[in-house]
Amino acid sequence: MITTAVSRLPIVALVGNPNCGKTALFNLLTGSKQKVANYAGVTVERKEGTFFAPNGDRMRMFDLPGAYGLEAETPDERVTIDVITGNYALEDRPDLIVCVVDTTNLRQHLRLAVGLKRFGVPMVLALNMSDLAEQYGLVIDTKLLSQELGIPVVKTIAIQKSGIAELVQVLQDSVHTTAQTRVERGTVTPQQLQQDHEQVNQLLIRIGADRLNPLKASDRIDSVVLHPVAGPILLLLCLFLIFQAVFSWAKPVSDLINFSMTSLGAWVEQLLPESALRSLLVNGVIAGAGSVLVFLPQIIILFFFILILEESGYLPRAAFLLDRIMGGVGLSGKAFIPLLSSFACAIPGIMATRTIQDSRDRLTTIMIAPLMTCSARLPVYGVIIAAFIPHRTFWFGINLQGLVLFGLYCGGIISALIVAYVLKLSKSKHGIQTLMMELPAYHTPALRNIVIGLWQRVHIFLTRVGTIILALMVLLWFLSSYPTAPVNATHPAIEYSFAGHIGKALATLFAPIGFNWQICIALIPGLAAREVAVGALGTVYALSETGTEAATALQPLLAQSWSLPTAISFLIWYVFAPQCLSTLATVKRETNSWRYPLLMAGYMFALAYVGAFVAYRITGYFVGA
Amino acid sequence: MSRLLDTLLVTLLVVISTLSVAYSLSPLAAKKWVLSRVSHYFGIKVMTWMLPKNCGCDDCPSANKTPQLKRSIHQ
Repeated sequence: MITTAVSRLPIVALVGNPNCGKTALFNLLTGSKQKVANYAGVTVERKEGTFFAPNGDRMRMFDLPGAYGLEAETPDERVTIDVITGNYALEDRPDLIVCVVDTTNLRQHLRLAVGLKRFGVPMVLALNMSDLAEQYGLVIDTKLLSQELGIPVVKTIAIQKSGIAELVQVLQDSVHTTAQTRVERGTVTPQQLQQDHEQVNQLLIRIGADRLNPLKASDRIDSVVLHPVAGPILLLLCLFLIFQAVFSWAKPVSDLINFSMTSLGAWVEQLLPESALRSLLVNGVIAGAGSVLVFLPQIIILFFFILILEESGYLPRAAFLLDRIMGGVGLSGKAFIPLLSSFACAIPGIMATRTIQDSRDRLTTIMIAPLMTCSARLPVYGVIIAAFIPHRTFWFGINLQGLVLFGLYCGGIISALIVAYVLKLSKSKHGIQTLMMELPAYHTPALRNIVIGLWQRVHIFLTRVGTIILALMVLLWFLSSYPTAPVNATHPAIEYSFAGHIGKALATLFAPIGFNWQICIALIPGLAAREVAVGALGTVYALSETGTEAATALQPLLAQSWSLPTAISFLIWYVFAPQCLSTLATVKRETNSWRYPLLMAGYMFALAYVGAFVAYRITGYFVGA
Repeated sequence: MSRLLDTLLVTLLVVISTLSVAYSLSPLAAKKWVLSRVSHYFGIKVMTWMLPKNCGCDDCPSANKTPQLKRSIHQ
């Protein structure tokens, strides 16, 4: 057992409605880099950081999931209520609550503040987004509001770092205020909620904030974006352009990285005498990890657009537009954000399902989340598309490679909707799920958040390449190089190795879907992380080659060695295959059962095999293979 | 001599890679056990960065490495 001594530091908790800017404030106060976005439900767990007051005092700061009220209707809201009532395992009750409110929506947000006051914990009110409120003609008299509520009130603009110095001073002054009576969880009655509502209405009248000028700019944009015909077309066009850019813009930088890796391989080959170490470096490390590294520009471009959409406030509108389709297949409207998160990685997507109230809806969303195309699939798609789909443009400069990539992403989404529909048929009928989601005001994306978000993606990708992918490539090189070939061997040495034997044994199973023994070898390390399959193919094909050109780029090698039906079959396999052990482990943790991860693995493998088989046969029929 | 050095280096890299892959793919409980044994036998102070994240994924939103998470993992 490892033990650590943690001294008792004052605890400050950031509480508020979803999407009021708690995490942006938390990042500013603690120097953290937690994810922020312009929609509700980004934070689903308690986050923690350390905060230093101007006098040098250290405090622990919690960033809690957003809550609309104190009734805890979803798992993420339960975390918030448990923390502030002192019922969260292993944590003391906070010494100070910072209630963050969106100043443009005081009627709703102040209800939570008034309710929180009953908990008896010293509190500070942060009027966030006060600049937006002033644009709408709402100027709050903080002194008057402070007198009315009986707590300190500070105006802040988290994304512009405005008001932070004053907030920090107030936190320092307020943190040692003695807590009053303690209210246990579950003591909020409907009568109290009604009283809170009336109190807020009276309060708004007294401070002159009961009327807002209409949000003209956002409304004008929404009249187009949420239009029943123009809205979906705009959404489709937006996604289409993103995937076009992923291929068109990334190509020069990808080519440069590719050239650098090839040159590095050639240089190492010249530098070292022929030996096991040279083979390990050239065929294992450079050909393996290098072939994954090539896809960094594509990942950066994809996330650049996703971050802009997140920051601007467009994504909740997309959820609104897709609600009818999602409702038709039995998905809750709240499933949109978890499914969208799954485009980065299924794991945060699965965890984000905690915002879904209905347990059956939550389970359905968990089961289909891995069908969304995560960023780890991008290198797999990228290498096959670049090798087999011509870099050609047609109508209005549409890039064919980008079109195929767009099609693969759509394939994942459509199959997820079909699976959700099948799961809906297996469920007993229950009430219609209505989408209740705030549409935040449009914001100009904050450059700082975009840069931080991109840096985090780059860091995650490079860390994976430098750790698990590199280690797997070294291991795969060993399995592909030993035992060495006999003296009179007629085939490449890899065919006599451990990996060669394993690949050939598996090839019998995968022959009907067109996979050769090299692909079968790559599927195994791909279980750790999908993009490892690309590195594995790089190593396997480098070792399968003879002569000095062994470390050349993977794409031409694949183009020479695979037929088109095999390439299409491989792509379809990766649209469905659940080759990520971390995802299955997360499903087990979130559902507290092995049943669902096993069911997920089973249905996804079956879909992958059947899909790849059909694709292989149909493509084979058309190309005459 | 250079052949021996070559073999030793390659063996070392393969062994380290095998151990790190095994550690990466092992469940949280196994990682905690390994860390506790390393801490016990080698007298190494377990630092925050050595601790496994909740689910083993870099994208995990709970990858918030703090003394309190450390405490909650190990109690």
